[in-house]
Amino acid sequence: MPASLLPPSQIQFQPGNVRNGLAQLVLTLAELIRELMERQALRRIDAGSLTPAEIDRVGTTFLHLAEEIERLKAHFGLTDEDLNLNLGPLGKLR
Amino acid sequence: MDSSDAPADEEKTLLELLDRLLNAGVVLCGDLVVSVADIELLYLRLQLTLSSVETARRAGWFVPAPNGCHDWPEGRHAG
Repeated sequence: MPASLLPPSQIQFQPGNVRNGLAQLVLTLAELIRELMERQALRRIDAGSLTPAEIDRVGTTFLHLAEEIERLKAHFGLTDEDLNLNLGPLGKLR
Repeated sequence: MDSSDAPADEEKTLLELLDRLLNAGVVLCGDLVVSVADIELLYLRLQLTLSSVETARRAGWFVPAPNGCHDWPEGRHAG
């Protein structure tokens, strides 16, 4: 079923669960920005405008970023699907 | 056109949209007047440019220096 037909995702803040709601909101944005930057970096690599040393450095940094986000996801009990909101008519976030 | 190289049920995502938008570059312009009790108090002119660095460089908006500092093209600060 297309994402646009599913009910929109929700970020829920509950009285006893503020920390997880906040973590979901922040990690959703962090993951969106990380993936956007990664795609832009890949475009730069494809365009040949980065030196091998720069490619190495940027690759290592993105790897560490992904690992750190994975660790935070596990810590707050969030799945990949929790960080990929369904925006209704706008489709999926990622 | 044959679409065999793209999955048929592939959906547009906000991520893809942003990725393409950065590549093309966008300029948002807007004029805003804020009034309180029918009295015009604030005037705001917005000119927001958003693009990838490569696109900005191609367009001559932005010339990044190797040390990470930014040199604006000649005439940028004129007037």
